Formats: sequence, structure tokens, C-alpha cells
Amino acid sequence: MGVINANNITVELSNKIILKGINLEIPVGKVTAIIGPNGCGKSTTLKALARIIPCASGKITYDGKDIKTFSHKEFAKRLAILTQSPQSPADLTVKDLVELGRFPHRSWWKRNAQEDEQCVEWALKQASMRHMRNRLLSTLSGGERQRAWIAMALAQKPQVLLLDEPTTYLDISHQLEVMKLLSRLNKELGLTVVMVLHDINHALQYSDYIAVMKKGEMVAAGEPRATIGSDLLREVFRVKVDTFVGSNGLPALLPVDLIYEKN
Amino acid sequence: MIVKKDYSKIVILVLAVLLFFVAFASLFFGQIEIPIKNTFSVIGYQLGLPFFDKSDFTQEQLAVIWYIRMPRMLVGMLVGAALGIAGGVMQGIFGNPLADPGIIGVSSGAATGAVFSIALGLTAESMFVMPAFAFIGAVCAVAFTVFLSMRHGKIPVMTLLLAGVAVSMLLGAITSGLLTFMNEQKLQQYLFWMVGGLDSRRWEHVYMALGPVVVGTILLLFLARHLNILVLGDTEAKAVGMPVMFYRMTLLFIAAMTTAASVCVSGNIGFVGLIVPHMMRMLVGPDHRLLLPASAIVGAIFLLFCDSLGRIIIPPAEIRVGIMTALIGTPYFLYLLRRMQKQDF
Repeated sequence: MGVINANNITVELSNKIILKGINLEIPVGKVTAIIGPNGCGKSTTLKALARIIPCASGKITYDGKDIKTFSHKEFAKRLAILTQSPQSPADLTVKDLVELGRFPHRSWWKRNAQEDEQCVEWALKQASMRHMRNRLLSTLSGGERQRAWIAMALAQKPQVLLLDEPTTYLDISHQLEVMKLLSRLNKELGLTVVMVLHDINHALQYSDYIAVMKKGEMVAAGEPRATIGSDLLREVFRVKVDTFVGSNGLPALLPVDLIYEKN
Repeated sequence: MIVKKDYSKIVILVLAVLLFFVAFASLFFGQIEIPIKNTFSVIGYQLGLPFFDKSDFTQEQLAVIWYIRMPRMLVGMLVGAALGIAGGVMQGIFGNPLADPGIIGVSSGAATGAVFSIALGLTAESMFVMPAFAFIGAVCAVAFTVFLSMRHGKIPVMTLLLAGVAVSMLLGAITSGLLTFMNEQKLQQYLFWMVGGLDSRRWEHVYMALGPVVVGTILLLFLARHLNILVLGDTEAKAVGMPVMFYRMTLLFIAAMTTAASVCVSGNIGFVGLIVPHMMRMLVGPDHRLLLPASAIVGAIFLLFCDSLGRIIIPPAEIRVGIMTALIGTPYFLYLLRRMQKQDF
């Protein structure tokens, strides 16, 4: 049993079926990658897991409990999600943003200022953003901004972190910076990470479990190296890939040609 | 330039002290000159403080200070604070620095309500009739705007904004239509309402606005923390465990009611809700826990300042406060527009 289980879920958005009976099991304490072509429903799956989009049918459980039964705040204490390049008010500082992540831990009558402060500091430290705490979000680079948002999600003290394409719009070194940060958070804190990725190589390098989607359906899922092969990529992405082995012993894929379907 | 967080509480305190002085100054200015000493005596005596005696001032001074200037000042303070804080809330909800309390149809609804009461000739019945109609008009307009923009139980911010503009236009047309059938005397009455003012406001007006504005302001201050989260966007707010729809509607409703309660005693006063929160954002930063109280205090200061200026600028005539706020507000608004073209907000 995974920490999150999606059981035959269907999602409809404005009368269009986006997900058709998806089954997905997120292993606890691991890094899971969801890959697939544009418009296959990766982001929708992520949002459904985070309860941001409701399911038309099927059931999603967290620790065996239906996610619909959690209160808003109780759910946010367990699971945090970062959407794709969220818009943030330009005149907010990094620390302002991270403090907002404490929202689920506060209530009308109770506020533990000291614990909040410690938690914010801890989150800033984890994301290596302590030295930038007073910078305005508008003055940060893409990678720094992504780290600021990750720090905010960490301030929620979640057990599961979902991310939608955390490396979009970043250059190669900043992409690696974010991937390494997530990998470290997973190993050191035991944080369960689920992310939608565009880059299959990132998925191969940094994930323990991979789910492949196509046209609103789950095509394959399992251990990355066993799951991702040239046949699967041909089928799902319509590309021909060559496989190399990196200096770290992990496979690296290079798309070399498009495969046109014969009609 | 944003004041560091450590200093921002001091900023609020300084603003509060400033408000106190502006409030006193507005009691002092007017066509009838009354020495400061006598002004204090009247207030002290009326508040039942010791050491103040009836012989310290004339009956005329008592009437001017206590029954003319005092309620005028208090109404100004309430209306200014309401418009300031409601403006801050609207700009937060819509994520738009140019949003103001009128944006979802509050002002135009109030105007239509007022014009109905005039057209029906009910205003002579009681001084409460026009404010009551204005309030009902404002509530209906907001309800209509929200109803129009609701789809599948969701209200997209952009749709709400556009629906607000459309409803305002429709109500503007109804108001103008009614005005064309009115006689001169009724038109005068309407004009008096349309260009908001604080003149001849009495204690009754203070009592009318006091409850809703104070309650509304306190509730909005309590919700400032939630507004901070809403600003992040729908999905992000949901992600940290906030029921977005509920809080957005609650904030919108309270802000609209607070505005409605204030415009129904003062008439339409523009630009306060637009400019004050924007100025405060530059001074205390984007945290609504500071931004909202600062906007309320400075809204009150700005309105009292405009009112006092309007009283002394061309004696013996008075310029109504709704005109003054627009005269001072428009140049600033245009400056904002110019600046926004240069940099993205």
C-alpha cells in the first residue's frame, strides 16, 4: 500500500473527460515521477491527488483514508503542492512567502509564534534560502524563486510534496540544483516526493518510481530503468531514442528521430 | 520604499497619532472662528469631564462644535476608514492595484437606490429614507454582480470584475433615465447625493454608519491573514489548506457592506478607496495585517484633510469633499498609470 492510492479515478473538466480510470500508488518515502506527452493529464493527476480538482468517480486515499474526509488544514499539514510557475505578488519577500506556508498550523485562537518562526527558519535553511530571506520575489532568478516556493511548501511540514514541472524555464544548472535539492529532502527528511517531469532523463536519474501516462490513461508504472525502454518511448512519445550510460552508471536517453504513424 | 517590518508597528502608531491631530484640526476649521480653548471646553463639557464649565463657551459655540463639526468629523472618519480598508481588501481580492470598493457595483447601486427614493418623493418622510434606499441598492447591485459571474459554483475573478463593470453601467443608465424625468428641485437633491459631502451631517448619520463600519472594519482586520493567502492565487491558497471560495466571498461581502454603509451617509466619494491602499502598500508593504489598518487610518486622515481643505480654500463657499478627493486623487491616479506603463506591477 502506498501513502497515496488513486483507485480508478476519472476527472472531468467542463464536460471533457481528462482522466479515464487512473490507478496510481505512490510509494512512501520515495521519489515518484509522472511523465507523458503534453495534454496527457499529468498535471490533472497531480491536482486530483492534492484535492485541488475533484474526481468525478473513483477514490483517492491518503494513509488508507479517503482524502475527502480530511479538513482543509489537516490535509495541508500532510500534503503540499507546488503548481507550475505560480504567480506571486512582486513586493513579497522570501520570508513573507515562506511564512504563509504556516497557515494550516494556525487557527483563530491559537498561534505558536515561536514554533512558526523556528519552522520558517528551518524551511529556509533546507532550501538554502536563508541568506535571501529579505529579498523581494521579483528580484529573484527563476531557480531562486522555485526554491523560495519549495521552502514555503516545506514550512507546511508535509509528509508528501507534489511538484508540477519544477524545472520548467530553468537553465541546466538550476534544473539540477532543484532536482538535487528534492533528492536531498527525500533522503534526509524522508519526504515523499511526487513530481510531473518533462525531462525523461531527470526522471531516470532522480526517481525511484515512475508512472507513464498517455491520453488520460496510465500506460506503465514501476521501477524507472525497468519501465522506461525504447519500445515504451516509441509508443508514448513517438520518438526513437538511443541509450547511453552516464558516468554515474545510470542510463541516459537521447531522442534521435520522430516516428510517424503509418495511416 | 518599504518600511522594515520592525518599524511598521511604529508607523501604524504614528499614523494613529496623526489621525488624532487631523481630527482635532477639522473641529477647529470653519466659517465661524472659535478659539482652541473654547473648542476644548465644549468637548470636555459634553463628555462630562471635570474642570469644564458651561460658562467657558457660548451657546453658539456649543452648537457649532458639538452639533455641526463633531458629527461631521466623525462621519468623515468613519467613511474614510471604511473606504480605505474596503479598497485595500478589493485590491487584494482582485490582485489589481486599480480595484476599488466601487468595482463590484456598490457605488452605482447606492446611487440608483438614492435616485429611486428621490423619484418616489419619499425623501421628505424621514432623513433615513435615502440612506436606507442607497444601502438596499448597493446590496442588490453586489448580489446581482456575484450572481452574474457565478458558474458551476465558482466565481472567476476576471468575470466578477467584468460583471461589476457591466452592472455599474446598467445601473448608471437606469439612474440617468430616472433623472431625465425629474424636476429641478429633485435633481438638486440627487446632485447633492451624487457628489459626496460631509456638510450638514448630524449625529443621526454618525449612529447610522457607526455600527456597520466598526463591525466591518474589525472583521476585515481579523481576516487580513486570510487575504494574504488569497493573494497567492486560487490553487496555491487551496494548497495551504484554505477554502478559497468561502473566504473570498466573505471578504467581498463584508467589504461591500462596509462601503455601502458609509456611502449611504456621505454620498459617493471616489478615489479614497483607490489611492489610499496603494499609497500604504508602498509605505508598509504587502502584508495585509499592516496594510489594512494603515489604509483605514489614512483613509480617515485623507478624507478629513480633503474636507477641511474644501472648507477653507474659498471662503465663505465650501467645496464638497467628493470634489476635493477627486481633485487631489485624479493627478495621483494618472501618475500611477504612467508609472505602471514603465514597470509591471
